[in-house]
Amino acid sequence: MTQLHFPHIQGKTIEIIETILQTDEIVSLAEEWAVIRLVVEELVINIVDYAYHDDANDYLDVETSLTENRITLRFRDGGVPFNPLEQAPPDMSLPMRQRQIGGLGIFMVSKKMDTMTYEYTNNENVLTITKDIKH
Amino acid sequence: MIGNEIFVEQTGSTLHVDLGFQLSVANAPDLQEKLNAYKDQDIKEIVFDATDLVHLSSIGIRVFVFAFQKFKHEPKIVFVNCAKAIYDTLDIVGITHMFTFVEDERSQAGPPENEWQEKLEELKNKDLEDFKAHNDVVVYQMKMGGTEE
Repeated sequence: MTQLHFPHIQGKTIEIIETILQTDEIVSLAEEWAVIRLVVEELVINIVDYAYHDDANDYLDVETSLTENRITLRFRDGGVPFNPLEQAPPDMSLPMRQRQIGGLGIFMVSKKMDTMTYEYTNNENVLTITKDIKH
Repeated sequence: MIGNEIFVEQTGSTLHVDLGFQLSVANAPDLQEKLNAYKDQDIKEIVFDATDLVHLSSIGIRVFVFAFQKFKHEPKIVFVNCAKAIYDTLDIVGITHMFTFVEDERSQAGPPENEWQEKLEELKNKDLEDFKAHNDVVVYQMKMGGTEE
């Protein structure tokens, strides 16, 4: 298992993504690596851009763990409460010219991962996602 | 995660965009800015070459939606050599009907599955190089343990 703590995350999106992607658990993936690379980008962007209104004490903790059959990523931040599971999916019935340009990231994560759970505890958003590993 | 720089070339009323291996937070905003310079011109077709594309995130998808919605003359949007995984990502968000998908002779080179894995390995190696170059920018702590119980 690897635990990462990123203090003062504003403006560090790319560096945070790069660091998470170098954990042993993610580097060792084969077929699932591309999906994990995608969801890490989506979730880090979401947290850095929207979690904190006051960036004085902003941080992000990330935990990656791996078993033979599953990779688990846990994202923990102290920002405003935000339950991504309650976010409305994009309205695909709308004509393309009326579609929202943003808001696709969380939806993509939910579609790409096998499980996605959220809790708000001890003043922290805790999002846990898992992906089964094919053999 | 340094994004490959993406260039936009104009030939008459067509824009050619070689997407390279990734369209992500690292390069999509730059591409959108470049495309923005053409949105009021008489552009009839935008050709996105996805021959080498293995990573497409939502911020990259925004660029395509931007091209569809904001270009004044509603150009035809063509996607060349789109890999299945990239197509599936576009399909998840319900925008495949925005594009005309075509393949050229380059899509026939080598067994597709092997080629895809080779490109992913290249991207993984590049990520490591970028991390080594950048990792002093972020202060972080790493605790290593055994595998999960």
